[in-house]
Amino acid sequence: MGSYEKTMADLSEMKSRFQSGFSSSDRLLLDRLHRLIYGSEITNTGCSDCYRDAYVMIYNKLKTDKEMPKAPNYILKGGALIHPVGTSRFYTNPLPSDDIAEEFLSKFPQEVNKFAQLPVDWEDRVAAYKARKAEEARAKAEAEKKAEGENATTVNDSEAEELKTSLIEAGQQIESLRKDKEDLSTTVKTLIEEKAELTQKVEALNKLLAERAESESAGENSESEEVNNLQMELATAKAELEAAQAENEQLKLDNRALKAANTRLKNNSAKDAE
Amino acid sequence: MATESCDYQLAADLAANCTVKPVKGIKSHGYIMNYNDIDFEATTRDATNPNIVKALILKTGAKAYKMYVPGKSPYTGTKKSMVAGTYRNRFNKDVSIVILDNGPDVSHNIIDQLANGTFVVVLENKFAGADNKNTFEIYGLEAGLTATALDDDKYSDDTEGGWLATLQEENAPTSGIFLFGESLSATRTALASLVSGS
Repeated sequence: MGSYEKTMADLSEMKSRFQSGFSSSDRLLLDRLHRLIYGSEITNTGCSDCYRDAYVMIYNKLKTDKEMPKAPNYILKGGALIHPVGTSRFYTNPLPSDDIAEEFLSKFPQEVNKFAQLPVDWEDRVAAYKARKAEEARAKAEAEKKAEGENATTVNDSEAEELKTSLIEAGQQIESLRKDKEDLSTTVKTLIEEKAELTQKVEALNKLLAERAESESAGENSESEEVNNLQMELATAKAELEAAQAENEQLKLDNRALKAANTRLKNNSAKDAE
Repeated sequence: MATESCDYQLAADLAANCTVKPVKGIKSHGYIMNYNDIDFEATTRDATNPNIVKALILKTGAKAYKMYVPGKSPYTGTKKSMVAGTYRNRFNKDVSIVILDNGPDVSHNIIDQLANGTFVVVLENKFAGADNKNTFEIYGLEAGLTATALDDDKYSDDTEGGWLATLQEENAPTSGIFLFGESLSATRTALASLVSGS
């Protein structure tokens, strides 16, 4: 394969045959370039459009890259593919990077027979790849550790931010509470005044009640004296009644004795008359 | 020499697949490669089932070629048959390929080579099986396919003036060898890379 300039010159020269149809040598060149750039044959080579499409693709690719594609260090044999462990990806020719092959060989060195082309020092490269990966893993672990610390700082910052917000909110709450307190104080004062008024009223009422109670109790005492007097009068009346009854009994007895005496007198007088 | 005796014992039920119903026939696209281009050292088989090839690898610089036979029943005549042997039975595997083309390039690049070469063919069964492992079947991997008939019937309605090639692998010890990598997509990728070569 020629240099980039030579290849681009050949492709430019082929442009004149783009419509009329490429020659067999043109097609051979396009086959080689397609294989070199894309790692596969031109599909459906039976049609002329396929080569026109391939020409456009190759020309644009080289014009963009401004250099010939580098020959890969590792080339797999036909039918061989690399499946990185733990992924769903498969790699065939052309391998996107040497790392893919070196990672594969670092894990499965016995499958070196899957490669059609290897650098002479592939074992050294694989060893270097291993060392590089170990170093990267170590650096990654350190970076993660550092990131954890930064995260912690970030967390602190965010916590401080949250605390500031909380502080502002708390200040606002305090302010509103102060207002509430003032309102409540006013209410309390009003209530105290009302309470004093009410207390005075209660005291006045109590006084009135006391006076009323005293007057009521005084009334009750006079009634009891009257009752006592009446009871005494009743007792006197009862005694007089009893004395009257005794006198009546005496009188009845006297009357009977008089009647008996009268009867005797009558009898005596009758007897005398006779 | 080891005096090991072969233990031919059944290891599974002879049952019909009721879940994935079998479909007869082969799909139109296939692959053919030279037997001598196979890198048998790099080619690997399944550890538990040696009838499964996990990686079919070609030698450095070698590549496989695509085959395409259109129609409802492409590769008609492709079959496997047991051949009774004196001590052990084997299998003949026939692959019929129609080449709907003709001319000096076909004669030189294909027919002349088919006439005398040994080949390996990979065909895609319509019935993939429950686990897709029946999808791609390899013919000729053990003994190699060689041509038993190459016919160019100019008035054939079937071949339309093209070629009908019949290849046969004689006395293959295994009844069927299947190509299956880690998945069907991986197998297809591997087959595509066979065509790309190295």
